[in-house]
Amino acid sequence: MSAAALGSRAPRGSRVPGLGQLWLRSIRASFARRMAYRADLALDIAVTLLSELVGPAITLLIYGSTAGSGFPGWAMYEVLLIQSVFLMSRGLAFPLFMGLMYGVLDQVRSGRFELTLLRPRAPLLILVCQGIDPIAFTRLAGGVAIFAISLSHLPSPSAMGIAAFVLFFAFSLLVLFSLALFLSGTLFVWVGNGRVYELLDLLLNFAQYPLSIFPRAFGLALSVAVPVAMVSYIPASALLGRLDLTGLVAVPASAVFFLLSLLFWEKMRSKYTGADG
Amino acid sequence: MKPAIAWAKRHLSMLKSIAFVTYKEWAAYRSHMLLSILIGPAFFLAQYFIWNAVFSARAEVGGLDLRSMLLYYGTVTLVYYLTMDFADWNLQMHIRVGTFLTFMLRPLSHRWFALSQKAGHRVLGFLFEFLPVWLILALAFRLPILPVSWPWAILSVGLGFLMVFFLNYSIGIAAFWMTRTDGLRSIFALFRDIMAGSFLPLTLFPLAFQKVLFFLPFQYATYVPAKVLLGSYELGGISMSLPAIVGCQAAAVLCMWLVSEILWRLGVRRYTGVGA
Repeated sequence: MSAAALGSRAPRGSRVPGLGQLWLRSIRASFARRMAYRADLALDIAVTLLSELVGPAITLLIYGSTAGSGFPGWAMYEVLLIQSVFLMSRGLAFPLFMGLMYGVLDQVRSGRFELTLLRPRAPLLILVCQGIDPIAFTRLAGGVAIFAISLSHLPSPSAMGIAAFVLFFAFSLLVLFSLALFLSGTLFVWVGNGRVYELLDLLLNFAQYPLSIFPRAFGLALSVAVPVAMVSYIPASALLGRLDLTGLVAVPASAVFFLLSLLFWEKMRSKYTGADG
Repeated sequence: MKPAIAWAKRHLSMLKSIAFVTYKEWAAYRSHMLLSILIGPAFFLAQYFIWNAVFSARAEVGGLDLRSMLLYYGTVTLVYYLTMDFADWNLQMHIRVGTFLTFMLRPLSHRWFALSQKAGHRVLGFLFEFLPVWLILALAFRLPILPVSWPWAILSVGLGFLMVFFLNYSIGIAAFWMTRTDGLRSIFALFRDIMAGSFLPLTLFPLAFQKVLFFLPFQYATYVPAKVLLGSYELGGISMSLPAIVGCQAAAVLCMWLVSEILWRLGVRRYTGVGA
């Protein structure tokens, strides 16, 4: 998929803003929009931080109620590390590109998607830029804090482990972007279905725990078919030095998943028929 | 006496009509609702794996064995389909965009209108969410969830239905003070779900916290109906018979109705219509 196909290059000789400019303008517009309702924004930031901590809090309660036995073969801080990687990945994905889902949902329902189609850039790029939410970077804070606390209670990772973690973390974002493409793609034909967020939560629910708690076939499906294991389990395993073959299989699987999601999104977009206008 | 009967009849007739219209309106989106057949059991499946792993190392967690834990999560899922609503979102939206003004002119209170809408919406939820998910839990997970005592369970779920409504509606009223209430509604929903036992059985929380939860209204929305359905109630070291806890639930619903009434009167005084 070339940069031109993704619409990241401005048409030759045009006065259309470049990618960087478009990005900055989107951030500025989003920031201005959110600052219009400051009290609501403050509460929104607080709730985002708190809601991100529900998963780790449940883990603490499980380990607290089981006198530390929790998930067999996994120490509490190892599980918390997986969940913190999950939070960090979401913490980057939501401000950067997950707004795409709401963009399609809203614009297809209201008929405003036609305006996006008329713009001199690829609709996908426009939707991603419109969905940028710099305030959502606050989601990262909880994840980074739990990540640091967990790491401080675990043996130091090797240089190889850190390098693998960085690589897998990039794939983690790729998988989240692919999920956003698949789910937002369905909204071109399944108009106004606000429950796609529940579908996303449903898939990501399986990403927050060690793969070993699932049956083998199910775990493999989470690594290959819908590689949500790449979102947090595999990067965290690399850091813990517990990476197995599934991690290596999940890399090409994630790349294929991404390509399929792009094709799916384009296919679904071609099925768009305007309403209202 | 006669005017009271006539008043009740008129309100019941309005409830029936509004519920029917809401049912028809939402039936257009039944495919969205049918997603619950996938979402509900899949979330349950995650809990199934999590708790199977946890119980592989021990027989009891927080006084519950594996089957009791799964029954709890299954029951909470089903109770949710019978009691959920988005009265808070609806009310704040009407206030924000100005369409609330039209409700001030109607010959019935907005609260009764919203409750009637919820009734219609949940009838549809019963058919398209509750029944299929109940069947999946019974057949796929071998968890046929049936009330130990039908009368108390029906009464408790009914009171849970009202409790969820009054809680959410009270938060929706905040829109009279704040233009946007997304943040407030989200933070409230988070605390409500934690303290209602939607994420974890409340008996897994520290004992002191359980005692605090006993005096808050949230447990009456989900935890109490789920436990009444399963036939026993315990929280914070307090065990109660089904009639006793359902009695407490009724009192809590009455209190919550009063709170929403007071908030409503205070809020409506501040209202100035725009748009419409």
